[in-house]
Amino acid sequence: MTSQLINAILLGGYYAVLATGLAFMYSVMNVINLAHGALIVLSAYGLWLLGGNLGLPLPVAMAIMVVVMFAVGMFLQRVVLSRASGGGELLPILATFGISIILDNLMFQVFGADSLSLAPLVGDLSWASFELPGFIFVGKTSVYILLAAIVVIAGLEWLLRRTALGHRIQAVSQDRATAALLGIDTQRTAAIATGIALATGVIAATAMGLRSAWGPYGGSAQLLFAFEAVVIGGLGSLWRVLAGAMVLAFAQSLAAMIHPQGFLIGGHLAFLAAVFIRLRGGSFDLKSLLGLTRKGATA
Amino acid sequence: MSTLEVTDLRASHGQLNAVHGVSLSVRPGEMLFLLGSNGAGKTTLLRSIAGDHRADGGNVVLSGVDVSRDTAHHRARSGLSLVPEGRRLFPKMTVRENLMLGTSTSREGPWTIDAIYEAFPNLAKLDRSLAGKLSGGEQQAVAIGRALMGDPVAVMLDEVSLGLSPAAVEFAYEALLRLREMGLALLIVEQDLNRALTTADQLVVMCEGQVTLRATPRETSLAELAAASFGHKKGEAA
Repeated sequence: MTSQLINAILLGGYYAVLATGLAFMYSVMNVINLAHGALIVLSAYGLWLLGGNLGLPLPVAMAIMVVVMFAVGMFLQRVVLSRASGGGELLPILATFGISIILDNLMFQVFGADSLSLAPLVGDLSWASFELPGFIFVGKTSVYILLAAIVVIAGLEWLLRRTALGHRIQAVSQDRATAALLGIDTQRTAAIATGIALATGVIAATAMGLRSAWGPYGGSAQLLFAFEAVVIGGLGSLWRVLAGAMVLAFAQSLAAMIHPQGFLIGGHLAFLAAVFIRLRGGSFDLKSLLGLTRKGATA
Repeated sequence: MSTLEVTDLRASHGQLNAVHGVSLSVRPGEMLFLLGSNGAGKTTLLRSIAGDHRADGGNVVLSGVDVSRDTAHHRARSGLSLVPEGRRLFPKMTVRENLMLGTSTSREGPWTIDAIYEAFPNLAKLDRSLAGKLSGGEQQAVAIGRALMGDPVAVMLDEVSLGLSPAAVEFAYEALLRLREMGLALLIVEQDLNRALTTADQLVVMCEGQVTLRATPRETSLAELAAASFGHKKGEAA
């Protein structure tokens, strides 16, 4: 039981890593990035190329990919999202959906259908474990992933709340016109925010690649868990995403204990429960779905 | 030379022409009051000058430089500031954070947080308060302070006294008069005609997107201003 509990917490850490970029993107850019999963898979391929083919150490490969994905994010914002955002709430969702389809198929074309893993890059770390009292073993990578989730969320929260760049990002997300009147380059700020969101996806890609194997179409599975974690936790603060990820992981683990095939169903039930709670009272819009109407509302 | 020179500015909302070729100029240390009833096009004019609303035609020249093709943030960086209607502070940020956003213009000048707190002593103790929790007068002070943090040469203020207590209005105008002494060009939209008559250097009245009266306070009267804001020509009764 204790072991299951600990494993659920660690799994929650993984979901939090997946979901943070998605939540950041929505809370500061008002874009639900349906390509989030595909971009994580793309980052994973990048890490695999740099680490596996060029033989770079994983931290170096990660550093390079953070820069690359930051640039990809800025490019995406300038070329696709900024135009799509002009067309209402639905258009950016459709645009990112299109990007995810393009990416999925491009990656299939380039990398083939093979399942890949980053585990060979870290030697015995991938199966090494900590022994806890009571003969409980927890995988080291899972612990590091949970720590990474906490560090990433703390870092992004610090950036948003404590730095001048973060305040500019908030200003642009809350009231773009007023931000521009204050001399803020809203386009550039939005591009930087998107770059940051995608750069955090590199951490998610590393977590995914170390935990398991992935294929070219693995993005949608990652997106699903990330999305569920975000909806369960709600937005307003990224810490709520961590909480949502934990609830999702606990629901899945609990259901798996009840029935061996209950894992996914448990998570979906938690997700549906969150949806029903958020949407009670008949307000069927995205802001209330993501828990933004009561406290976090800005308008 | 004028700090702010607007020539034949035209702007519309869809098919509705809101501003039909308005020209005005504000010199350093001068206070121009823009008057007119609701829907006269004052706010649209200000937003078009600031680049927040796309103008259909006309020119905006700031300190001799044509900024008509620039985006809003470039105009702000050139020293043109707009304190929008309703203040538009960021409610979940503190007073200090709101003020610091004003420095996004990256301009050199005399204004710092300390200078703002010296000019608006009531803000100093609210430093860490959330802007959304302040009274209307305090919010107006923050909004003006935020504009000043960008070290502008011209400041436009939309509906300065709307929703403020008489004491808060008095306080806001004391600050604006000091800014006039410092040599800023001020373009102020105001509903209070008496205030305009006692304070302005120049008066411009708009009705249905057109200028119906231009005068100095000396040359005109309350009745004339009221008549002009309903679109009556000079000499007609209101």
